[in-house]
Amino acid sequence: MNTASRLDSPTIKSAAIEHKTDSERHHENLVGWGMLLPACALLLLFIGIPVLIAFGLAFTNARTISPNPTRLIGFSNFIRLFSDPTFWYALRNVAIFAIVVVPVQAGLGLFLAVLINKQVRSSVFFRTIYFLPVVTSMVVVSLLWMFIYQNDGMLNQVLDKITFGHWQAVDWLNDPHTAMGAIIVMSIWQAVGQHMLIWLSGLQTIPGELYEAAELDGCDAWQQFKNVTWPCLRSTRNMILVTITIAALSLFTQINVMTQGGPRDSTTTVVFEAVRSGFQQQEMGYASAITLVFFLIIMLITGVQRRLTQER
Amino acid sequence: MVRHTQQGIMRICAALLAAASILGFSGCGEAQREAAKANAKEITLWTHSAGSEAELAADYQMINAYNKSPNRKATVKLQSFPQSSYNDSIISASSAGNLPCLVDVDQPNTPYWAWANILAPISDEALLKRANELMKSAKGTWNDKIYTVGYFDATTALFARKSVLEKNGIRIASVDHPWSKSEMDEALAKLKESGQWSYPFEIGTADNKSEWYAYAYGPILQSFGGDLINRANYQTSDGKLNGTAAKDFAHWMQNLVAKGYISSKGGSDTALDFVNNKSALLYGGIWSMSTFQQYAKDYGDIVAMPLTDFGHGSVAGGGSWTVGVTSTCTNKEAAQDYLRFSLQDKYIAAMSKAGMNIPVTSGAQQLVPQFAKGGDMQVFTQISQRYAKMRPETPAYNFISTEFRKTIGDIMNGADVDSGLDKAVNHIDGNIQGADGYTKN
Repeated sequence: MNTASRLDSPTIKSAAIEHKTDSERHHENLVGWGMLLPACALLLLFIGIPVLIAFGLAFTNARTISPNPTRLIGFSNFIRLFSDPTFWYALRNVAIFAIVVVPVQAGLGLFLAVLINKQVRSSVFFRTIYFLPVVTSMVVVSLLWMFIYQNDGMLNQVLDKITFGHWQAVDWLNDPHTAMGAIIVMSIWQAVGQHMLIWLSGLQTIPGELYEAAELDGCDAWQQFKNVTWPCLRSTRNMILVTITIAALSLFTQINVMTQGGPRDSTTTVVFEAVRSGFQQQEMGYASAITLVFFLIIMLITGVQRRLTQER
Repeated sequence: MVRHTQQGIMRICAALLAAASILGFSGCGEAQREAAKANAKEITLWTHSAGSEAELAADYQMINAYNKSPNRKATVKLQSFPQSSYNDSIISASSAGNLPCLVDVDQPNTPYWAWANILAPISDEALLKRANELMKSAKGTWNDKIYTVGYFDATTALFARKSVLEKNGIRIASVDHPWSKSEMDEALAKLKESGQWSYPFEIGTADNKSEWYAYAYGPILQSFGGDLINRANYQTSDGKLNGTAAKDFAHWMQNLVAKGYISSKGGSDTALDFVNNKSALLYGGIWSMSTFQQYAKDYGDIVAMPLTDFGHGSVAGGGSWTVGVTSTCTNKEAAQDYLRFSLQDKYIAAMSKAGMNIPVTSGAQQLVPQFAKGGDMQVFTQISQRYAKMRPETPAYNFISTEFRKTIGDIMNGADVDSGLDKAVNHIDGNIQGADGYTKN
């Protein structure tokens, strides 16, 4: 009897729990959907519908203002797009930007995060310092760096002082060879703090016992990083990879403020070309075609990234 | 629990409905309010002059006078926008149907906005009569109809210091005798050789987001014998923007940078740089003069000269801000009555004085001492009257301007001239075809 009741009671209990959760899950689902509703409605209204409209417009000759009705023109916008060298330059520039920025910014962010993860007093100070550019508007940062990069700007002055006057001043943003590099450096400086913070939150979820155990096993700092920190940061790493990639591919503000895509298309980007066609030149159809192609590229890249990170 | 959830959902739905209704009402509310205002004999004028206090003051002077006049047909209200976002505001307001009765328009944009049904042609007899008394560049026209009228015109000129020119053995050009191309090339070489300036010539290359490139470098192109578009029917730029004259022009511009005469990304305030002797020769707008008057200690030494004659006569930029009536205006009669009232000489003089621009009637010119007989700005009136050439009067102009700006910028930075110009022509022709030749179907 005793044994039987002992055996029975958990099953009865679990059945009761099951039953309760079943009816409660229904309510919870309702609550969940109710909470999702506002966000979904807003997303649909301001992202879903405009994206669908843009896909439709890409096959028309739509203009922002026109007295004539918009009509379908098939793939003409895409043919024009793929035969425009500026578009290929834009793709090349974005690719270079992403290939450099993604690893460097993520790596630098991790390096800074590891450095200030120590519980010392000055870490708050450094955290603030590194985070300061992130909370400053990109437009302001771009304007400031324009002054730094000028012919007689701070960078050239400093280099001149360091080399005792042997430095030949470079007009960083106005030379096709240096413009993109200059923008890459400034962009990394601006955004590295944000990713440092995400890495930091990842680092702080790693239990201290793991490090203690590693220390007892005689691991040095590098081995600890390799065998404890790095594997524990897996999900943080995946998130950072995807967000930096998307942010890098949609490079726009710096270009719009600093170079307008020049000199000679050396800094133009896909998003900048879309904005230029859509708003400066008021060719909505063509701009929509650019965004549609861009959308597909981003989908492809994030899809590949997801696959790669899942397999690991 | 169930009740809670339902209440929650109901609440959320209610909130969403409320939000949606606010959005919906505000959308059509603006247009309704505008219509109501018009019926209530109130019309609104949108201007680009936010931030420019002198111009705003002149605007208010006219509006207050009209609102106090016993014969007024409506009360006029002013709403001003910053210039950099003004055109975008008009275009988005137009697609949302929220335009006011009166808008100010940069003169070369008039055909585009007229084509897009933003503007209505001027029909009032008295206003048309007055419009015909104004300088040609003060009117925005398209298809032989007047759409907009302006109070002042701006123009472009070369600025130098007499002492510098004399010291380097360079002739001071006059309105009657502009420099020839070889004189200009020689002058630039001499100034560069003197070694006093790292870039002796400044043409405002840093201003690559605005109209400046088309406004100022278009005249150089025209003086070489090219143009932005074939003005016979405004359907193609082929042969004009990529012909031999245009290629000569492009090579000349490219050489300015290659020879170190100009920087392909110059200073942001070219007039102030000139005052500070950072450049010896300045190609700039008439508005540079107000900077000189304010800051230059050697103001008397500065001379304004017409642009060089590169073979087809000196050409000056023309066309400035004008005002027009929108096609959605419900009280066009009152709007045009206000325009007619505002075009009196005294208000033209006040508006011109505010920005130191050329008053568009000879009567108003006499009211501004700088432009009256013997005034130090009179040279600009002469340059404008003799050499001003309007930018192409076609709805395609807005596109042409952006394309020209990019192409010339690339060429000055060393891009290939032939392929660069051909690409620009392709884009412009493609845009015109895409808009069905900018005719109305």
